[in-house]
Amino acid sequence: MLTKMAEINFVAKKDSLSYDGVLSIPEFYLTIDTWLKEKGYDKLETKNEEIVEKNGKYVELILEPWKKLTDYSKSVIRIHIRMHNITDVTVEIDGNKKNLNKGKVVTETEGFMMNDYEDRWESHPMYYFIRTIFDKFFFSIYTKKNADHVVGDVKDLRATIKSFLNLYRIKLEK
Amino acid sequence: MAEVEVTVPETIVPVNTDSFHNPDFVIRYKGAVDFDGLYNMICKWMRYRKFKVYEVNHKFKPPEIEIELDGRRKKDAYKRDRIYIHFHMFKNKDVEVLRGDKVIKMIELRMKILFKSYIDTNYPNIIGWQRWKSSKFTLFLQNFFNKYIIKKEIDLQDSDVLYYELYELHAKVKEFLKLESRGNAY
Repeated sequence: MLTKMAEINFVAKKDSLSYDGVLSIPEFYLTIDTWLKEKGYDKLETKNEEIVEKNGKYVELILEPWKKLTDYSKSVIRIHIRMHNITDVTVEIDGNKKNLNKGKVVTETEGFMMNDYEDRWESHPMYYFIRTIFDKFFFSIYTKKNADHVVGDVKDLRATIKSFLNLYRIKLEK
Repeated sequence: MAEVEVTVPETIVPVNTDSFHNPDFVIRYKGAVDFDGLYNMICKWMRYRKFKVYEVNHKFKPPEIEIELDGRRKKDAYKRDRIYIHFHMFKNKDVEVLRGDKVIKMIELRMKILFKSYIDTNYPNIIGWQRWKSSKFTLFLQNFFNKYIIKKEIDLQDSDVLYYELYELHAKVKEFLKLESRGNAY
């Protein structure tokens, strides 16, 4: 099978967010999933690994959801979540007992744009040359617009994750 | 004895685009699993959705076990849905787990489950004959048909629907294994 080689431009640098404490991991995952659905991203879970150890569970997730912006470019967000020493705990919040998880969660997000994902402009050197000229000089406004769209989405996702984790921090401090 | 030179015939067969593949996804798990229940759940799910389930490969080389499931569902005379699930496990030992009042036999193992889905066009009939591969001209017609005429229709109507159907199975498998990252908003 021929592998498609699209042009990848990293527009949002990798940012790491670390949290150590109590949270609900199914709700965390569902928050990210719901955000992706609302923003119109197609889901892709490239890796979902869970290892049950003596100290707790180790969970690793790599999500690479994508959204086609045009028939030439698509936006991809890579979300890499690693959870260490996850154990089950019962916590009382507002008088109600809830089953939650405790452990360390590290989330890395980065965004990139994939151009020519259908590999139409790389089959011949002339096509590749024309494509590069057009990208750099004629379509630079559209490329920048699409890149800003990706950056905006990544920032919004990071803010959603931060607000979710802060919510648990505030609930437990009360 | 005289040496006979056999020249290779100069026939260039065009590259064939028979299938429309979706991205694959993987679950890796290490722990205790009720594998019989998991296997039955997956087969029942596929049969309920009118897939014909074939176990194309079953390798038992203890402690390594490999099972491949192939699900096929005909859409029409030209295209069909295919789901491919590959289990690759290394068994540690048999364990018995008490859940409530019931004692369930489980296997402690390291497992990798690969989910693949694609749309198959010009699938072979009962005798293995593919009509559009009978000559170079029909092969060219099939390529042209797949790349320019029917591509968008398959991408939007068939491929996308199959992809999210497989995600539903993926979510069910995560629920069964009681993974922390369970749930599906789609």
